[in-house]
Amino acid sequence: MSMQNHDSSSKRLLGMRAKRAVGNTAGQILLSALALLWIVPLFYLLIQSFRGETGAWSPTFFPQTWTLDNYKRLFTETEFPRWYVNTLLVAAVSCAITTLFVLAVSYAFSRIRFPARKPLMNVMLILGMFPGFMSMSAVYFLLKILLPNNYQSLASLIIVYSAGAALSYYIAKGFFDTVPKSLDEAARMDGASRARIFRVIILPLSKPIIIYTVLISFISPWCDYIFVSYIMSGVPDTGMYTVSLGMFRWLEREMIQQYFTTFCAAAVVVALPITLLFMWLQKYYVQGVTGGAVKG
Amino acid sequence: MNNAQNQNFPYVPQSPVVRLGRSFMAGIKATPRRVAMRVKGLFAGISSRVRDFFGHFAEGDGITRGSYLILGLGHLCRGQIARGILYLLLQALFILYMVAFGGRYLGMFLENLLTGGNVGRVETHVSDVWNEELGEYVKVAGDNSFHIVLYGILSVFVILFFLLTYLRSVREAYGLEQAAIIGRRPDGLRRDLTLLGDSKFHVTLLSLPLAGLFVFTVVPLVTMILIAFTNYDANHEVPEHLFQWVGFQNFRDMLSGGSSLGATFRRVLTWTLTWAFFSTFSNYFVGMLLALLINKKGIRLKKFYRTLFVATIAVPQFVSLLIMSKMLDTGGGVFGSGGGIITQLIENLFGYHLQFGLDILTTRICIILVNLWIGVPFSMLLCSGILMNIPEDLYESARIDGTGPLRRFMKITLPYMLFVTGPYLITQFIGNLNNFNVIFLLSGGGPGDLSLYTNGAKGTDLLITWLYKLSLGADRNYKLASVIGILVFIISAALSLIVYNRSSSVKGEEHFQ
Amino acid sequence: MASLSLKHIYKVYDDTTKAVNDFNMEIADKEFIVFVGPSGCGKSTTLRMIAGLEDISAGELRIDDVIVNDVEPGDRNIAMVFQNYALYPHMTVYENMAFALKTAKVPKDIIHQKVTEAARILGITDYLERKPKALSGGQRQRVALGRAIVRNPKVFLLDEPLSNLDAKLRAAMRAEIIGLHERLGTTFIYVTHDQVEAMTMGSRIVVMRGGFVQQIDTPKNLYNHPANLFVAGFIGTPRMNFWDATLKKEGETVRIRLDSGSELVVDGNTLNRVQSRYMDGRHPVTLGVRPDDVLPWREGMNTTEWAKLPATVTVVEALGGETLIYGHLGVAIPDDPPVGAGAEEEAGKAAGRDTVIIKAPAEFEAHRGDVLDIAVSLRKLHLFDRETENSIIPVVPIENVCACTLGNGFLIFASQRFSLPPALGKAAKEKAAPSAALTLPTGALLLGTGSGRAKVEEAEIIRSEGVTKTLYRLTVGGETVFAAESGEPRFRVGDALPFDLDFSRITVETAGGPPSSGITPLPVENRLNGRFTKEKETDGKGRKVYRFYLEVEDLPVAADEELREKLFSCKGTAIFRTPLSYRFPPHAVTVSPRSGNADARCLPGRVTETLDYGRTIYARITVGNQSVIAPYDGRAGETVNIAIDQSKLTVVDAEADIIIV
Repeated sequence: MSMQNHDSSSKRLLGMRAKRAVGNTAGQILLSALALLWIVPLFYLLIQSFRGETGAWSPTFFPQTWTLDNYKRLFTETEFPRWYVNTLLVAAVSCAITTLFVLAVSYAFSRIRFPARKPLMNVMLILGMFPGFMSMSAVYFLLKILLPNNYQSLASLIIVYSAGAALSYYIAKGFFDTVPKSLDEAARMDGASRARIFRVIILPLSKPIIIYTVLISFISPWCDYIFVSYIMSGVPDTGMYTVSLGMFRWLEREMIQQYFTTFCAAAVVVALPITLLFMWLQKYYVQGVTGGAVKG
Repeated sequence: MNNAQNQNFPYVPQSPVVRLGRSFMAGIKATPRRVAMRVKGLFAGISSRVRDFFGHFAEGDGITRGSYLILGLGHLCRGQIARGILYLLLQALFILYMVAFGGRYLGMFLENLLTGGNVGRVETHVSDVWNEELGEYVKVAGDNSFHIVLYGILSVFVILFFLLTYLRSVREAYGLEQAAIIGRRPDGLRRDLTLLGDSKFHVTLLSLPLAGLFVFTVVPLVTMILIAFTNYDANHEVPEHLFQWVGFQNFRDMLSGGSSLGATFRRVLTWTLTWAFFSTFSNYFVGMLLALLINKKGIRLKKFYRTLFVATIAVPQFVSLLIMSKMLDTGGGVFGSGGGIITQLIENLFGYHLQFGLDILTTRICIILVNLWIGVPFSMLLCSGILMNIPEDLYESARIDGTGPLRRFMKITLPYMLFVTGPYLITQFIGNLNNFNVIFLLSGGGPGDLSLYTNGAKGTDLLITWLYKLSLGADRNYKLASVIGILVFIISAALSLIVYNRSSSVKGEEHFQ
Repeated sequence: MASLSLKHIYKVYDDTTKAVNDFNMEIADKEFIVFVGPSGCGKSTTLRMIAGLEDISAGELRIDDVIVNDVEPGDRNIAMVFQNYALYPHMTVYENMAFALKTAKVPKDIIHQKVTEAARILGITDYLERKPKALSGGQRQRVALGRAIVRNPKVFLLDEPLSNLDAKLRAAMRAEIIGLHERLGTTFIYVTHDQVEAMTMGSRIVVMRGGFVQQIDTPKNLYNHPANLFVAGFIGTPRMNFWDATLKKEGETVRIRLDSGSELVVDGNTLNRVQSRYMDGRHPVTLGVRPDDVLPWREGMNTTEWAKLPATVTVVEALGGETLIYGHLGVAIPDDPPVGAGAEEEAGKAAGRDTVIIKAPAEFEAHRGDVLDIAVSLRKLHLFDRETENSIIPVVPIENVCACTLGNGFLIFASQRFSLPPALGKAAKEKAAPSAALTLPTGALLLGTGSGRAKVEEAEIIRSEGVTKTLYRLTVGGETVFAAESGEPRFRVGDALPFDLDFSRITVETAGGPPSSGITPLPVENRLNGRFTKEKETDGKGRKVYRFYLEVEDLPVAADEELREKLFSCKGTAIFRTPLSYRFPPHAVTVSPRSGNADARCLPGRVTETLDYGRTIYARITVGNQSVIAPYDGRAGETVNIAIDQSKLTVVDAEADIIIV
C-alpha cells in the first residue's frame, strides 16, 4: 500500500517536472517574442537614423547605405541644438520648482494639522479633475499681462509646467504618510522646530520620492506637445521651440520627405539620455509608481 | 468541492464589477448628505463669524473700531508694528488695484452677467473721423469681452482674498485689545518669524505653491467655465467683437438630440468611453500577464527582460508614438506619405492593405493595439510590484488543496490585484479619457467623416483632442471647448467618487497612535 | 530632579469625546510612575500631554512648580522614549544621540563628552558609528535611552518601550531600566499595558480605564487593596477569581453565600470594614480571590483560615514550576467551553462568575472532569459591590452605615441617644421612624466631647500626599464604627472616650418612608452659576484700567489676582465668554451683616433660613435666584454680605463640564 503510493507519487512528480519544463520553455519563447515585438520599433528608429537614402520611407527594414550624415546635419544645419538647449533649460528649471512645490505641499498636508487642510485638499482634488488644457486660453491671456513683451517664451513654458505643481502632491503625500510620525515627535522632543525637522530629518529620508518627483517633472517637458504647441502657436521664430514641437513639424506632410531620417537621429539624441537617466533611477520610479497606485 | 473551495477565499465575496458598481452607487448616495453636512457646517461657521464681526465692533474700544476702517491700526497701536504695516500696505494695494484696474472690469463683468447680453459696453467700430494718412475712417478699439471675464474673475478673487484678510485683521485687532486687557504682550515680529518655521510652518510651505495654483489654475479655470455660458467663437472673436452671455444655450446645443452637433458629441463621447475602457483594461491585463510571465519560477533572464521593457517606458512618448504612426502610415494619415514599414509588411505577408488613417474602425483598433505597446511595460512594472506582495501562503494553501494554475490565478491573483489596484484602475481610466498624446500623435484624430462628424471632430477624436482643436484649430469655438471641458470634468468627478468612497472607507488617515 | 503636578487635566476631542477625564496627581522627585491600563484608556494620551505632543484641553500641568501647558515640548526639558524607538534612520547612533544637543547649539566637545559618557553607561560604545538599521532590537532600545540620557532631562517619559522586544530581552531591559532609574535619580513616567511591567517597575502605579483614573497606589497596595473590580482583575496573573455572592452577618461570623451554591463562613472581624448594609443576605456583591490564595485542599488545613469548596477541573496547564488548574465551582462540567489561559476579563464576565483558577504545586496531578476540593484562603478575600464595582472593604473607610431609630427629637444609634439640633428637630419630631439607616461619614464623629461613649479598638496612622490622618476603629454599644481625624492619634487603644455627631453631615434614610422623613446632610459644596467679566474703570490717577469680576446673577465680586491669573493662563480671553459654575465649600464663605454700602469684594444676599446644628449655625442665603449655605447666625430676612475665600474656589466650565481651576 505504502509502496504503491510512493510509486504513483514519484510518477506524478516526474510528470510534473516534465510539464513544468514544457511550460517554462513555452514561457521563455513567448517572452522572447514579446521582447522582440517591443524592441523592434525602437530598433527601427535607431537604424533609420543611420540610413543613407533620403525620403520618408524605405522598402527595406535595414537601410541600404549606412551613414552618420543625419547626425551631422542635425547638429549643423538644423535648429535642433537650440531646441535641445531650450528644452533642457525649461526641464531643469520647471523640475526644480515642481519638486520644491510638491515636497512642500505634500509635507504640509501629511504632517501639519491646520484648519484649512481638509478643504484645501478637497479643492485641489476637484481642480485636478478638469482637463488641464481647458484653461490654456485664459492662461495665455494672463501670461500676456504678466510678461507683456515675451509671453511666447520659455519663461511662459516654465510657468505653465510648474505653477500647477501643487496639484500633484498625492504620491509624495502618500510617501510622507508612511514615514513614522514618531520621528517628528522625537525630534520635537529634542527641541527641533518643524522647519528643522523637515530639513534635517524628513528630507534625507525622502530620497526615493524626491528622485521620483525630479524624474517625472524633468521628463514631462521633453514629452509635452499640447501645451507648448498652444503657447508657441504662430511664433515665427522656430528657434524658441522645444524638441517635441520642432520635431513634430519635421513630420508634417511638406517636410517629411526631407527630414524623416533627421527626425530619427534627433529622436535618438533625445531618447538616449532620458532612457539612461531613467534606467539609472528605475528603482525609485518603480517605488513611486507602485506606492502611488496602491494608495489610490 | 467547488463551494468548499470558494469558501477558502472569503475575501472574494462578490465579483469585482458588482463591487465597483456598489461602491459607485454608495458614493452617489452618500454625496448629498456629505454635501449637506459641509454646507451646514459652512453656514454655521459664517454666521458665527458675522456675529463676532459685529459683536467685536460693538465691544471694542476706539482703536479696535478704528481698525475696521484702517487695517492694521490696532496692530500699530498695540505693538505689532510689522503686521500693522503689512495690513496697511495690503489695504492700500487693494484700493489701488480696484481704482486703477479691477473696478472697471468688475463693473462690466457684473453688468449683464445674470440678465444676458453683451460682455462689455463698446464694440470695436469704425468712427466718423477720416484718417488722411491711411485713407480710411479711424477704427476705435472697443472693450475686450474676454479680458472683461478674465479680469472680472480675477477681481472677484482679489476681493474675496481681501475680505478674508480684512476679517482676519479686525479679528486680530480685537484679540490684541483683549490680550492687552488681561495683560498679555502680543507676539513681536521675531516671534512671528520663528513661528513661520515652527507651528506655522505650513504657511511658509504652502503660500508660494498655492499662489501659483491660484493664478495659473484657479482663475483661468473659472474663466473658462464661464466662457461655456457665452457665445465666444470665431464669429464673436475678441477684440473685434463683443460676445454675449447666453446662459445654458451651449449645453442645450451640445446635448440636444436632433442637431448634428449633438450627434457628433455623442459619437465622440461614445468613442472616448470605449477607448478609455479598452485601453485601460487591455493594458492592465496584458501587463499583469506579462508580469506573471516574467515572475514565473523557472524563467531565466528575469532582470534582463524587465530592464528591456522598462527601457521602452523611458523613450519619450512623442518619439515612440510618432515613429509608430510612421510605421503604420498608409498615405492617408495626417502625415500621409504612404508606405509605413508595418503596412508594407502586412501587405507583403497577407496581401491586405491596412486601412490605418483611412477607415475609422481599423484606425481605432490600431490605436488600441499601439497603446498596448506604449502602456503595457508600465502596467507590467506596477503589477509585478504588487504581485510580489501577495502573501505566499495563499498560494501554498491553494496548492495543498490541489488547485490548478488557472484557478489559482482566477481565485487568488486576480481578486487580490483588483482589490489593491482598484483605485489605480479608475485613476488610469480618467487618465485615458484625457489621453491627448496617443490619439493626437498617432492619428491626429482622423480619419474624418463629414457625414457623421461636424465642428472639426474626426473619427478617432477624444473629447480632449476635440477640445484642443476647437480652441486652437481653424474652427475656433471656445464656447464649445469650455462645454466639453466641463463635461469631461463631470465624468471624471463621477468616477472619482468611487475612488473617494473606497479610499475613505477603507483607510483611516489618522491611524497613528 | 523634578516634581510634576497634574491638576484637573482633561483631553477633549471634537468638543465632545473626553479621552482623559480630570486627571489629578502629584509626582515627587525621583519617583518611578507607571501608567497602566488596556489600550484606549488614555494612558498614552496623558503621557503625550506631559510631553507636549498633545495639547492639554483643560487643567494645569506644572513641572517644578512652573506651568508648562503652553511650553513647546523641546523647551520642557523632558526626554521621551518611543514604542518604536523613533531613531533617525539616516543618522548614526552617535548622531542620533547628539541631535538634541546639536539642535540646542551645544559646543562640539561637550556633545562628544556627553554622548560617549551615555554610550558607556549603556554599553553601546562599540556601535556609535553604526546606523540604527544595523542594530538589534535591544541595542536600538539602548540607543533610544541614550538619546534621552544625554540631554540630562528633568523627566523621563517612556511610552511602552519594551513592547517590541521578545520576552527574554524584555525582562533583561526591564532590569536595566530600573537600574538606570536608580543611577540617574530622575523622575520616570512609564506607560505600559503590561501589568507585570507595571508591578515590577513602578514605585507608584496609575491604573486607568476609559479615560478615568481607577486607582493610584504602590504596587503592593494595588495588589492587596484594589479599589474596584477592574483594578482587581487587571493587576495580577492569573486573573483574580470572581464569584457572585451575598453576605449575611450571623453573630460573630459572616456567611458568604456564593450564587453557585457553595458557602464560606468568615470571622466577622476580618470583614469589619464592610458596611453593615451589605450584610443583609440580599445585597449583590462579588467575591474576589487571587489564584495564589486558592490551593488544592490538603488534609489538616485550618478551617478558620481556609474554606473548602468543591470544583470541577476543565483545563490543566503544567508550567513546570507550578500547575494552573482552570475549573468551575460545583461538581458538574457546564456546557460552555473551557476557559483557557487566554481568559480575558471581559470573557470572564460573560462566562458567568463561577470559573476558578487554582495555583497548585507542580507535582499536583489533575485531569479534565476531576472533582476537587479546593481551599480558599479566608484571610485574603476581596469584596466588591456588584453594581458600582467598587471595593466594599476600603483601606480607609469613608463612612459608616448602621441602623438607627429616629423620633421625638432624638436619634438613637447603637443604643445611644443623641438629641437632634433645632435644625433637624422639626422633621424628626413630626414623624417618628422606628427603623432607619444612618450614614455616618468617618469625619462626622467628633471625638473627645459629647454624650456618646465609645471604646478605641484600633488606631491607625494614614499618610498620603503629605497629609497625616488617624483612623480609629471604635466600638459603640457593640457596633463597630470608624472615625477619622486629621493629625497624629490623640487616643490610645483601649481608651474610652466621649463623642458627638456632626449632624450637618449625616444622612438618615427611613425605610419605606418619604425622603422628607429622613435627614439629609448639608451640601458639601455650594454652586453658583455665573460668568467672569471685565469692567473699564478710572483709577486714582485718572488712568483707565480694567478690573475683573466674578459675576453671579449680574452681581460683581472683584477677583483676586491669583485666581485671575490662573483663569487667564488656562482659558485666555475665552474666559469672558464661558458660562461658569463657581463651587466652594460652606466654610469658604464669610458672612457679615450688611451695613451701608456694598463692598466690591462681597455679594449681597438675603438670609432665608437659619439652620442650627448645635455646634455650628448655618444660614441659607439667597443670591438672586440661587442660594448658598454658609455658617452664620442670623435671622431670616436679614440682608448680608457674602465674602468667598477665592483660594478655595473651584471654577468649572459649565458648558463642557470641565474643571478650569
